[in-house]
Amino acid sequence: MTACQRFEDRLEALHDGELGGLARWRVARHVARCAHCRAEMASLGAIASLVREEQSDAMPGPDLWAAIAARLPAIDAELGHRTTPAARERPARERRGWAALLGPLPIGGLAAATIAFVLYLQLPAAAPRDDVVEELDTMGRPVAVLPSDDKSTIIWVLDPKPVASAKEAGGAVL
Amino acid sequence: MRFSRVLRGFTTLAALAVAAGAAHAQQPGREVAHATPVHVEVLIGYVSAQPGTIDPAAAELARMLGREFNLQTLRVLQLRQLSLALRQMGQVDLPTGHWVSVEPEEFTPRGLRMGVEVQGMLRTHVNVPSGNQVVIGAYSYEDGRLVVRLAPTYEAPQSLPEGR
Repeated sequence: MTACQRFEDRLEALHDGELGGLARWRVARHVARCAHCRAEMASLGAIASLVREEQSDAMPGPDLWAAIAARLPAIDAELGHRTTPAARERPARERRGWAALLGPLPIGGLAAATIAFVLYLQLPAAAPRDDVVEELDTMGRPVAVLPSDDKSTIIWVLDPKPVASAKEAGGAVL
Repeated sequence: MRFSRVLRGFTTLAALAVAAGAAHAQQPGREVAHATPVHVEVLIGYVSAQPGTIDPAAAELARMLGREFNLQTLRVLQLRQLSLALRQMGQVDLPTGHWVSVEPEEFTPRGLRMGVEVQGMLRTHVNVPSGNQVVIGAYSYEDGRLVVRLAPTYEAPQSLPEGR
């Protein structure tokens, strides 16, 4: 059993502040030394902060859900490599916190779904999401800001007139 | 005789003024940041999820957008190279009748700060390093959408304002 496997199921407890004393110190020390576990901790932190930001009174339209669904496989595939095989194979009953809610989905899937969901809920004038976009006024239109890669940022303003339904567009919404 | 002396005096003064002005303008590095134009490539494209062709001139853009959307058609409608000074606005028309404007404002450690407006849809300020790009998904057009790609290239000044 590697050090990661020993500590992996304690990361959520550390994140949620459930560990104390020596246990907390040991897990925190491992996280400080292990890039993989730091990434896992960052995912947990991202999920928590995104959920706090969630605007529960804004319901997305069906085209937004379709867009989220269309994006999920790609994002999940992109993030999936950050989840170790051990974590993927862990039975659901052993998962705690967010992972327990997820069932068999990898933590990357939840992160991707939450990120996509919150991005598409930015109604109307979204707050700047990164260093590139400083101010943004979309005149009442929903917008998603997607830092695509190191050199590109996408600002996708959703036109009130839908171009094509998800069905017509073969599952994709532009 | 007296008139001729006065005339000679004026001529000398004028020559000195011209020489001083020329020397002033040739001081190395003076106002380089403001005088050097910023080049902003503005691409107006049409994208769609309907089957079609990808314009080879925008293959890289198609690949980048394809990671986010199911994009099967990309057509370059317009490609403009704008050479702008700071605080100078450039404008490109969209096929919908709207326009896109871009105004380089200042150099910051995060890149060139630009004011961007898509008429009737979007106003933003973005910080874009030289060689990077911002892609805006804009109006519906035909059975797809218009995209606007803004890619500035510039020579950053030696010293940049702190804390931006």
